[in-house]
Amino acid sequence: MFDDDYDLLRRCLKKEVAAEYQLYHRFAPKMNGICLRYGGNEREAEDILQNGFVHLFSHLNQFKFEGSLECWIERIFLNAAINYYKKNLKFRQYVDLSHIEEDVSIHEDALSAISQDELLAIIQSLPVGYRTIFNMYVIENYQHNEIASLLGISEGTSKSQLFRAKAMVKRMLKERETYYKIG
Amino acid sequence: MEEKDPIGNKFKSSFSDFEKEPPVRVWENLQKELHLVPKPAGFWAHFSAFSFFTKVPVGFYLSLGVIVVSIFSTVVYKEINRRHTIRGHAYAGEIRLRNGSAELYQVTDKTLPWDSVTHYHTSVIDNYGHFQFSKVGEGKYLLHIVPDGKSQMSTGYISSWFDRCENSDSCNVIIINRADKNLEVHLVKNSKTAQ
Repeated sequence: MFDDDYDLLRRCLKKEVAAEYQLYHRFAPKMNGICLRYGGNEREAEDILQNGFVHLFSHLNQFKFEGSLECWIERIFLNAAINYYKKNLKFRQYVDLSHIEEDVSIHEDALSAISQDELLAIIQSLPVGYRTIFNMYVIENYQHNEIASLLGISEGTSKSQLFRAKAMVKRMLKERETYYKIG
Repeated sequence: MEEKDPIGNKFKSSFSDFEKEPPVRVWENLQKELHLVPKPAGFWAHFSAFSFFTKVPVGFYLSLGVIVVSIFSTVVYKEINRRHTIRGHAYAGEIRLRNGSAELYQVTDKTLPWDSVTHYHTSVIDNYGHFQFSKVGEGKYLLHIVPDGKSQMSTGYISSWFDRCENSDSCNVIIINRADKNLEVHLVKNSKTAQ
């Protein structure tokens, strides 16, 4: 089932440049998609992507040729994103959420009309801590205890940060909805 | 979850298969960082490429190279090893000859009579009868001792070939291969004077 990937990896382990190039081009778009969600902008996403691939190519020999290569690579890039989060914690921004209403409702039609690019822009505009937890919980389906363990925070912090992240997202969606209604 | 969190579901469905081609510079930077760039081609790569484009197998060039190197080595080896010295003393009877000349001839014939004899070197015989030829290559030689006509010591002796021979066809051939030669050459008595 994974024979092609395994063959490709074996060739990479033999330092075949063509195979390394092939491996990069096979997984770069998907990993870039992940990095764009975890980075604050395209430049930051590039940094995460770069670090992820450096780690990947220097630890190829750690793959045990069991299970999916893609899942293993995804985990590497998630770790790269987590490292990015930890590195940037000291720069986390203060967000005033005092005026946010908890029960902001977004109209279903407005939600379905929103494009992927707009959603990405919303995620990228979140502070790094909110963004990381929002990605891990909402998109990657991690539980709070797993997030807490991976990020080195408490479950409570994970929950509160997710709540705040969601609140910010709702506010931005509402702003957009209002903008289009006015328009 | 589908019903409870429509916003979350929207994000999840939008990014479940989200892919975007990264800029080309990511791969370029990666190559620099990980040294994934192919190493500069060395001699072997150039040689292989040359062989490929000339459509001649690498083995041919290798064989040719081995032959050339072998020939070159042999020539150098022979050149180094063909340097020998022939030295010795010339005697008029029991006494060393005082003054004269020693002539060395190279022989290329295999059998007598020596038709292809060429003059190789001439050396001066000193007051002690000593003569020397340096840097002599391998081969066959004839040695001719010519006494100085003014020398009193040589008046009773004639020019002779090595050893005690009046003519070259009956003389000894000096063979030089790997070692130097140290010779004692005796002149032939002048039969007229002796009578």
